[in-house]
Amino acid sequence: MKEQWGDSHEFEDQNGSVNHLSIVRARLAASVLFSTLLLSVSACSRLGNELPVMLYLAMVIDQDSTIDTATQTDFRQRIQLIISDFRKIKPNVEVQVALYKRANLNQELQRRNASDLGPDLVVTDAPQANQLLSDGLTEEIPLQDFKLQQTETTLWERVKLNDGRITAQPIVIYPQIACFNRETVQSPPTTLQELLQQGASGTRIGLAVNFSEVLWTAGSLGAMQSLARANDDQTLSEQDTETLVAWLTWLQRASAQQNISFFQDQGQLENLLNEGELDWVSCNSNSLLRLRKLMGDNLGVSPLPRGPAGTASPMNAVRVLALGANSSPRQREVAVSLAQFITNPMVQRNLSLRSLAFLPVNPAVSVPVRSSQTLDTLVQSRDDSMLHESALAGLAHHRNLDRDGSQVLVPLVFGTSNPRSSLDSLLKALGSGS
Amino acid sequence: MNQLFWEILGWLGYLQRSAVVAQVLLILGLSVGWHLSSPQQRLENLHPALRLLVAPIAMLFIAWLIVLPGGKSGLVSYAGLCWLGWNLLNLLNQLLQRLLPASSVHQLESRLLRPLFLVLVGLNLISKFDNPADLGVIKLGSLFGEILTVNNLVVALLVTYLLLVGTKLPAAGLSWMLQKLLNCSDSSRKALELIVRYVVVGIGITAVGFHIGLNSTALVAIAGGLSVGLGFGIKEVFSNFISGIWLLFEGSVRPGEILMVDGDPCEVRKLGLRATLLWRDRDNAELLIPNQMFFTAQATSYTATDRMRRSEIRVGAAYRHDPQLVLKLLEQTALNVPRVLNHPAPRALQVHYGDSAIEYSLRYWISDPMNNIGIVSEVNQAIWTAFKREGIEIPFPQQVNTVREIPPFRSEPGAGDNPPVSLR
Repeated sequence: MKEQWGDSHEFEDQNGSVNHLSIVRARLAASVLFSTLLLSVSACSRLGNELPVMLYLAMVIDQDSTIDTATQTDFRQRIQLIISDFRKIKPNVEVQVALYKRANLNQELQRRNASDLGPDLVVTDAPQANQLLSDGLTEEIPLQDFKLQQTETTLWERVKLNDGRITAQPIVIYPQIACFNRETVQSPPTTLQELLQQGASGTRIGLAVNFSEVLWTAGSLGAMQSLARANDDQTLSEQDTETLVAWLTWLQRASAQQNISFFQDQGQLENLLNEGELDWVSCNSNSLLRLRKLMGDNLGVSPLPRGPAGTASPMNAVRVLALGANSSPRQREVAVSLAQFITNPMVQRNLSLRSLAFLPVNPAVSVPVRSSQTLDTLVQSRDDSMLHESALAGLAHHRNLDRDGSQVLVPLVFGTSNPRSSLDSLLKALGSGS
Repeated sequence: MNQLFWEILGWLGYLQRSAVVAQVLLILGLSVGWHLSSPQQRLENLHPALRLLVAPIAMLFIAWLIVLPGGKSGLVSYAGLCWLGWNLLNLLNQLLQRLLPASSVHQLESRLLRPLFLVLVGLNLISKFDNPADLGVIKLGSLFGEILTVNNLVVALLVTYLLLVGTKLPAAGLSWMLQKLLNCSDSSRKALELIVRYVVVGIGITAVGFHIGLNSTALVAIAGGLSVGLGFGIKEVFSNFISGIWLLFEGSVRPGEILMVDGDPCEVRKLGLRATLLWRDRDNAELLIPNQMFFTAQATSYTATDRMRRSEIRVGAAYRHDPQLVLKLLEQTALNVPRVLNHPAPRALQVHYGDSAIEYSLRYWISDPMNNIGIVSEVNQAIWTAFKREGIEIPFPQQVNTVREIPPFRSEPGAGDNPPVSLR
């Protein structure tokens, strides 16, 4: 019994010493952690203003591109052009770029933001920027800090939500234009009539069935205002209905021509043009850098053809810069400065001249159209678009314009639905998305 | 390479954000605190499996508490999930041990499951602050005129690793199926398994080579390099490798074969690229012998055509016993030992008239050559018992000396009549 007691005491002593040891270790660890925390905080406050500010920029690649080494190099060079100028006024800034596919951006930002590791800036198109702010993945632009006059007034409408919040700063315009092969197309069509004639005489023409990418024909055929009214849920007059039917009929007849083909989107059209399968396509100036590399001097550009009712109504893409939701105060301050810097007239002009692929959003910048036929085409396309801007801005806010609109157009151009019934479906789709 | 370096360095910029720093500190604090708080003692009443889940679930719960008022705790919950996954691998290990041998489970876990888990955790972590798809296309340099990207390199390393580590089970499965179809022996199955692995690894590595830009020019360059290398440094390595493949096809040195090495039977455990691993029963030693040795030197095998071994015991019986009786008794005794084969039947021979005994040889067959020494002992014991029972003597060495006559004492000339001093 005594021996047992003795053992028990010994066990208690051992236990006690183990507990004591663990308490000492725990205290030691706690003190080390606390000291590290204090040191970090004090060091950060001292060094905070001296360390470079790292900005994380998420950028959406073009619809038809894939993330590969060439795309990465191309996009990073574009950003580098801006950042190298920006460093002249803010030398202590570093920018890290991450490219994303448009379809994945929302999901990726949700994942990053959940850990407060979201980007400080997001470069994408206006509809996606609107969606991101609606989903709480970006923050609205603090308009009081921005020089509003540095951006074309109508473009603000593209990035404004119904509640009045501005989702992003427009930075450049990518006009929709016509791209053609100079070897096979001597003079590009300037009217829809010429387009049909050239198709009949053997020129292989490609159009997109994607709604926003074929919308330009609605302007040429006078259907834009009617579409805008349908999008706003207004009652359509008989004339509106007839105009819309006429537009849809033109699309169906064009599709019936042997040399005019409809494809899923402009990405496909551009690839087929490059491969020599098509001679004339509608395209976005965003792809000009890539097409120029691939086609060289054979690439020709022109404005989209006008029609009997007026100019084309290209829905020009607007690249915008949205503010991330996780920035530190210093990162946010620099991000806002960068967003303002990009709309600076000198930067805007340099960007356009260096790339010859997009137009400035700053109305004060005059583009030297005489020096370049491409710039001339881009400006003309922008001016055409401006004539329909109010209608286009309304349609741009439609939640699922491309998905719903394309579901109407696909059966139409493939002849399985007539223009009247397609119009009914279209009106329903437009009404549901407004 | 520079771009990748700066990209990785740039991730440190997230520490400019207080919420990120707070999450990192919280994860560190919780992990260190847990390990210092002697969890084994505190949770001794809990089932060991549940004990593994306590800390990760507590971390996930803390993350959830942070999210409730609108805080950000993605990193904390991710760390909790990773911790949980890591501990679940321990449970998986215990489950697998019920199905597979412990050594296989250990290999599977340490070489495949845990490394794969860490790779997935790493990639997923990167996707929380960068885009791995974008990171993967960063150019590292050029190889044989082709661009080498991070993706190419990672895929090449990963596929090579998986080929070397992860093909064992599929190859074993395929060779098992082939064994069933072709009705071949176990050692042939093991050889098939190795051949399948070599073929898969060979094709895989070639594919990896082409993936990272290997082309005909590169192949010529590599072949040139190899020919120089073969002449100098790697001659022995290459010789061993080719010998190993040759031996596999020849079938003389396959896993499961029994070879005599320095007079001891040894079982071939593994035929590697460079050397063969043998197991010696006598002292449980494992011998690593370069493949080349089997290729160039003579080797004795007990398993080349069958696994039977003929063993022999020599015993002497006294001259007075009838050899016919002794021979019959020896054969009968061997037949009664369980591990001695009845067919071919044991055979006793009268081999020699010795000095002390007539020598007999008992020859019998056994099915497993590695058991020889044990069976020899059993047969010897049985002979001793049978001889004792039948009154047959195993004589000690004996010599009969016969003195024919005692030589007479002779007096030396000049000695006189006096006897020698010692006889006085």
